[in-house]
Amino acid sequence: MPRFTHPFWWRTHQSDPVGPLRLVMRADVRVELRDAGGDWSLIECLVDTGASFSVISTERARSLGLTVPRTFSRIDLQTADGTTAATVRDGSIDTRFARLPEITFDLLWLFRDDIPATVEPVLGLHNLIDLLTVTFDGTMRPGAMMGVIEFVTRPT
Amino acid sequence: MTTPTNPLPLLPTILQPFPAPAEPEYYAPPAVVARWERILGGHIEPGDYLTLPPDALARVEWEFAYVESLRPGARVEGDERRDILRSRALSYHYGGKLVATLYRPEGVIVLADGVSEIGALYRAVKGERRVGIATQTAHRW
Repeated sequence: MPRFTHPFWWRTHQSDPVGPLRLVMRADVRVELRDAGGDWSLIECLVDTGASFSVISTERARSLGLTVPRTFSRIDLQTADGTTAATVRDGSIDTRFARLPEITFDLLWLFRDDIPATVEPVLGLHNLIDLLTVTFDGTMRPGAMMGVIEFVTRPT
Repeated sequence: MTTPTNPLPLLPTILQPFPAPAEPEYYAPPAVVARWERILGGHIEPGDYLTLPPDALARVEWEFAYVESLRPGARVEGDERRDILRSRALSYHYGGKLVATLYRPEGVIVLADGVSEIGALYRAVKGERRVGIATQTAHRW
């Protein structure tokens, strides 16, 4: 099956000068979203297996020229900080990975009105794991000191 | 009377479609637009690439040494080293900001800074000219 890997992003950070040095890691990946005119917009996303949905700020989506659904809903979103009420719009966007451009996925996205454009988009579980198997592998390898995320397409 | 906390959806689309929201006014100064045209036309100047000042570069080199100490025998090199240097340069100058970037082997270029310039960029640049342009929130320095 078509697959690709992407190295974990990392940096060192010392938020408390008298505390230990922290190694910060992030699982991010570059995806492209197709707008109504057929053009692709490349964005950087966090891969968050603790998130139910793939989410992008409505403000950011509009700036990219993506088609933002007119209808919206109020839902309770469970986040790492607790439950928060959010205004969301459900949409389906043609999505592909920068490292796997030959395959386009029909991915469900939530557009959130109440977060600013600076909030990084998130790839959540629904419906990503229907389309791909995602593996987090911390094995060091050339070009990836902290390991990789592996994406493997699933048979349809 | 209580209001439901979670009406889904608020109104049936088929009965009462919401009007399309007004398109925000995106704007980039003429000098910024002219710079896009030059860079996307292939005329990249050395000053277009973000660079790290010596003290910041020393901090990143220290990071490499620290991480290598965690992974005995390993070296941060090749594409990973290049990618991290570009990422840190972006963080140093634009940490926490939403930017549109263009990555090249020589470094990273910021084409647009903030929602307004990015909106203008994506309305001005279409098709193949858009290849390689990415939007991201720069990691904090």
